Amino acid sequence: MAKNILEVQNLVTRFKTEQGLMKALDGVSFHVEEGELVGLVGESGCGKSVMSQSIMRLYDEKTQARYEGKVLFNGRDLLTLDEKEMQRVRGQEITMVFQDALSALDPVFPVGSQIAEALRIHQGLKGKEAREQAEEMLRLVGIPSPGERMRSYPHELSGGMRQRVMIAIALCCHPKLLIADEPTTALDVTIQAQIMELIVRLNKQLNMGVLLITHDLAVIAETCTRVAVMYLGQIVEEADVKTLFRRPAHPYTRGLLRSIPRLDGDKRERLFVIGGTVPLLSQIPQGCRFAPRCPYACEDCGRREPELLPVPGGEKDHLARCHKAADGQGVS
Amino acid sequence: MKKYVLKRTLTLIPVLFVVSVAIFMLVHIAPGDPAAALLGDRASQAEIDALRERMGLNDPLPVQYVNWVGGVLRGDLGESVFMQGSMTQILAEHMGPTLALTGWAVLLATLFAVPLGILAAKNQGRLADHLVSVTSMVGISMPSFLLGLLLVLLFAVQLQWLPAWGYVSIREGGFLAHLRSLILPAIALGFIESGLMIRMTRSAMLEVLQSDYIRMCKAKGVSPSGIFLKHALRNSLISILTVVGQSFMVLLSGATVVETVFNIPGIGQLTVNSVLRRDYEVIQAVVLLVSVMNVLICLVLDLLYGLIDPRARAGGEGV
Amino acid sequence: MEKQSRQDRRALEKRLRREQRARMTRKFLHNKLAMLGSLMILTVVLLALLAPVLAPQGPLENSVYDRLTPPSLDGYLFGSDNLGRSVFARVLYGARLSLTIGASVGLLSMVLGMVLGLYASYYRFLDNLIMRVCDGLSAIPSTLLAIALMASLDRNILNLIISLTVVSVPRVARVARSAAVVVREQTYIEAMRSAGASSTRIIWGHIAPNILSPVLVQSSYIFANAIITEAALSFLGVGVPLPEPSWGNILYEGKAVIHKAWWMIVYPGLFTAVTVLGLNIFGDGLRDVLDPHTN
Repeated sequence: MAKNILEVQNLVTRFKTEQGLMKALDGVSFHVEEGELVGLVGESGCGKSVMSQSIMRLYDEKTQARYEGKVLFNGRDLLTLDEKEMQRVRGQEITMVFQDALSALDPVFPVGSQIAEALRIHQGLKGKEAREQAEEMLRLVGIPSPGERMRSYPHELSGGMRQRVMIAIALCCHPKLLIADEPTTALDVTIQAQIMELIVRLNKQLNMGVLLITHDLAVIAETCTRVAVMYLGQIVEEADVKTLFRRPAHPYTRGLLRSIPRLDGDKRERLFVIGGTVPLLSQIPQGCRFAPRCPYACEDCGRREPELLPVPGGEKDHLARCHKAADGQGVS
Repeated sequence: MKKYVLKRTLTLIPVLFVVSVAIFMLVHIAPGDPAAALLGDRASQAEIDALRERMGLNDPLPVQYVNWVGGVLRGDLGESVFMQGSMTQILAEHMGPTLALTGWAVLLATLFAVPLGILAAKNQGRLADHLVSVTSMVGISMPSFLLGLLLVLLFAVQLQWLPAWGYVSIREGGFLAHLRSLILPAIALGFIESGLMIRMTRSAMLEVLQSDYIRMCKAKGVSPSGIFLKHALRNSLISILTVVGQSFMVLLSGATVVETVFNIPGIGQLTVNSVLRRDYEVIQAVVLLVSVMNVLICLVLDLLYGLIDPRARAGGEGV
Repeated sequence: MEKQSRQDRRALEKRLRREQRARMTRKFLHNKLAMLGSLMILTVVLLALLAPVLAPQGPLENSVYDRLTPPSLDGYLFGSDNLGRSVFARVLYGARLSLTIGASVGLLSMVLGMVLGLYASYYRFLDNLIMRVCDGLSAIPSTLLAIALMASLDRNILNLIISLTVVSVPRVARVARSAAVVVREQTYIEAMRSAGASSTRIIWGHIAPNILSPVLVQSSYIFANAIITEAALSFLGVGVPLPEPSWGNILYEGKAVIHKAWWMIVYPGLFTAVTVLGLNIFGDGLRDVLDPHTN
């Protein structure tokens, strides 16, 4: 069995707001094995990005957020590190690819110098060495004539190119874990496929763990080995890809799956839409958080909050947070 | 970049045209005969006629305008009725103290306001932020000449630490005496502008600090000081530079009033004396000079902007 | 179970109420800024209105024996000036003049700036003309332009108001125009135009009400600025003609005797600063209250 590169235990993130602390993540636990590609799905506003940024402790702890729980990286709890140690982890051991490369790349520096910056910080490379290495990275992520592109500013590149630059920055120090936060959402469909292919290729080539955050289940089905589904700051279901797609246990997951358009399905069947919207963090419902939108909810669901437990009669490692969870057939 | 410079420079033409018409008209909106008003009640009709002839007041307005602009373009800014020497000489003499005062005021305001603005942004919503915003509010609301008078009351009349007025140039009395004569006026003038500068710096810095690329830098492992000094400062520099540049102009015209408080023989005093004497051509020359300086500074700022921010350049080239 | 759920619900309701209260407090605090500003302005306005009652001596009445008497509770409240006039009376009557000038400039600039901005936003050919003239006028430093205008015009209060308005109108016009352009682009305006509504009706009936709040906020800053500039001009001796009292005039006379009479500087200065501060705070509060994004 492969070693866990990342193990999140009971992670709680609270945001400081004018109305007091607001719980954005509520006891999240999951893990990523060495070289594994894990997907994290959910609608927008369910805490996916909060999770990725909490793992790297990107929120300022003085003014923005407070963390609780454990984030074990290679067995070391990141939440106990001081800022200096954390800086060595960020960008070297864990790196991140953001959704919108145009706003995530510094507009006033050429892209080459932004890659070289990471190399200078973490690998101690000097001017020319760093530049050469950066150019090498641009080649690796498939940017044509990298020598010229080094001097380009972010706004001079196309969306796909920019995303490749971001991936180059993220990979230049050979991280053990890459967090890709909706890396393809802002791109055209054809470019999307290219970028995903690149991520998968590098994942295999470099044996690097990848946490892929997306709301696109199709992407997950093609690339990941395991999936976690998030809803309102909690993980509601976790399973390997096949199990999740064939026998989803949580009504929310089922809703997500049924909202994907299918070509082979019954044409008369209309595209499914989960009723209602994700509630605000300040209005988290009592009991099961999904109950107000759940077609199977009973009275008990509105009172008692379910825990993330193995699905009765399900596959190994198939967990769901639902009172009515059963192996596939149970409630459908 | 060349195209950007050219395009930006061409926008000056309509602005300078309006400025010149407005300044030209200053003489002509006066009720009655400007020549008579200028010479006062005791002048004879012959004297008035002579002056009218010299000022070209007998020509139709557009002809007068063209003549005036032609003269200005050739470097002929007119003559003072009351002062000796050419207009250029008069302006140059009075510009020295004003520029010195403005320079000190900008320097003090920048040194005071930019760090405070950054401090407020970094502590957004906390006590330091609120204190800074109160300071900036008071700064914005305090007329500079009033602050000047209060400073004189405190430091010159009560404590007698500093001279109440007068101006010493570096050449006359050395650097220290120069500074002593300008410190109070520079504070009075600079504090006003620092209120606005604090606000602009704060909001520019906040915008940058909350941006994705700063988060990306953090995720890359850049140290907080590296993020701040390299990325945040460089990105907010454009806005800060704009504020500082603009403040130079605001303060240059604000100096007019403060000079009077401290009896500094700058263009402000020149203007006020000329207004009281109705020495129109001096007023025109001063207003024209300061306005052209203003327009040129804006131009330089915009060009610098293009130099710092690659995106502005691209926008200028119509990409 | 039942009981547990009821308790939970009650706890939830309590929390929601607490949040609601926090929101209300915050909004009240925003309003409080506007309230504080209005309170400061109202105090000054009230003092100005009550000037004849509070200062029966009048601003021009002098007694040669009482020159430069320091402030005292039983004599001259704010002291007397170099001609033996009551500084208290002069400051209160000065408030009338300074506020009248400031308010007139604010109001005139608002109306003229709005007209210019609205028509500039609606007719393309006017847009270039009006905005280039505004650019040109704002290129001339405002205090200097106001001084220069006063040099050409006769020195009286009406001309002072005109000069200060000329200087302020471009600022309002620019704010009005940029707000109006946004409204003009909206679909319902387009629809009305194609349905044949008259331009006047669209401009005044539908665009104007929608740009009122930014223009109002800008005008309150103009009001504050006009008070500062008026005081500056009078202080330079080119504003309100003597012996009429305005805050700037009192300061002008006070400067000559600054070594002997601090009260001629401090009291008019205090009134000027408080009024301007009040207007600026009021403007900020107004902006927060009217801005739908800050709720």
